[in-house]
Amino acid sequence: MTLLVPSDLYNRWFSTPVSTTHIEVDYAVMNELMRKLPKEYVFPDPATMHILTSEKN
Amino acid sequence: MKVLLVTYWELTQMGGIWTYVKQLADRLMALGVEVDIMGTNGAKNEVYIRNLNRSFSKDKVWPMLQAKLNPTDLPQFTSDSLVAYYELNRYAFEMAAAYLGVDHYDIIHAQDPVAAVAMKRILKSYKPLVTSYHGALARETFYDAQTSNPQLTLPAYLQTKQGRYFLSLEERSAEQSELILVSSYWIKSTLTDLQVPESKFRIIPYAVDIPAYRAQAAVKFRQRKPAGKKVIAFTGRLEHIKGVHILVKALSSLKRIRSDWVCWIAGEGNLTEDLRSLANDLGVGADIVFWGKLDNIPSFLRHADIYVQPSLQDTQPFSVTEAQLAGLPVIVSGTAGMPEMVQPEHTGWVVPPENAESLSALLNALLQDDATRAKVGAAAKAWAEQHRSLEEMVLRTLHVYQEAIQLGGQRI
Repeated sequence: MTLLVPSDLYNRWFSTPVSTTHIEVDYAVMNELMRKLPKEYVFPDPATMHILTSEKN
Repeated sequence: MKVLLVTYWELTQMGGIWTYVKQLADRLMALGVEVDIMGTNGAKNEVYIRNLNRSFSKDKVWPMLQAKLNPTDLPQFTSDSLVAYYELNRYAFEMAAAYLGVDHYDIIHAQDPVAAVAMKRILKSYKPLVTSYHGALARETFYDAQTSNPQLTLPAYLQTKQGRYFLSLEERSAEQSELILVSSYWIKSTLTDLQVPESKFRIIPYAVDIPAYRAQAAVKFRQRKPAGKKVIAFTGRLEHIKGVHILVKALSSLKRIRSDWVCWIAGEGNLTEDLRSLANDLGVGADIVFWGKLDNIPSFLRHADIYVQPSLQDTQPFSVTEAQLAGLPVIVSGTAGMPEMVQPEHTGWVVPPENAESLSALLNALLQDDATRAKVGAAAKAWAEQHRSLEEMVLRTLHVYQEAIQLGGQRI
């Protein structure tokens, strides 16, 4: 059986945490991802944000 | 040795690149190397390890990513819709790949810069990375952008946020790779322009399984060519970057001079209907046969007399090598990696890119010169048989893996 939990439990992956209580995610999958992804893993990718927020254009 | 061949793209829709990945994996496994192949299955919206039959549906994380990285809360992230789309898809790909597991391989061989960047972001411990550059991502997105804005130039595009984003993926992946595999000097030059050091490059041309090619060529094609006509052939994806519209325009000019030819086009893509319309509008609709996707290109090519590769950009198309192995004189555009594939007037010809009149004039000259076609076709076949051996490609690639592992060892 799939145990669904609020996606806000995983806000630590997001540099700008946004509350999305209406979205539920699979607890087992998310825990496995928590275990497998590096501790410093973050969205959005800081290297991309550097380009998107730079002055040029 | 345990190797992961990984691409961000859809594995089986990569044309020649899929052939490359599959042949490389098969031959490495025959040498005792353990190889897994990871890629995307668009129809099922999943990332999968093809040989292990394991997959992860991107639907498991997509709603969360989309909701949390939304335009209201992150306007800068979503300011360019194409960049946001690529990023969201990459994040879903990263989560899927992490779930399937990437930390137990001895070496990761990324087949594109997006996959290379993704792998380095999700690895928990250091692993050596080799990246193959089969194309030039930023330049390819430029050609896509140019279809809706014909005035756009490459330098101007590379200054935009979108252009800089795609360039940055190429730069980052090159920086993070121990070694870089390229098939042509041209693709290498696009990276040395980005200050990637010379010492990282290894040039290994794409190869063809020549015995398998011969076996396929021995099968009879379902239709003979029309009596009294010579066949001008093209095989490949029907997308803007392949330049098939240039070939259709050249054929329209050619028809004003002579009609002892037909053109056979094998392949499918998002321009199939546009190309049919263009052919009809230019009065050559009845002279071009669109065969759609064919399983046996070597057999198809046996009926051809001339092969044309009119691409706007192409690194080292398999289609050209296949045509050379068929003993055909080939005409390629004088851009990107294509001129490296022929020795002009000895194994083929190079025409100025996007120049339908030059192509038409050369086709006219070749159609009336049977002896030259035969001589150049034979020389092309001999050259391809000598320089495109799969065994050599695989052994050299294995050597690159060993080198990368050694370089990685020095780094730890």
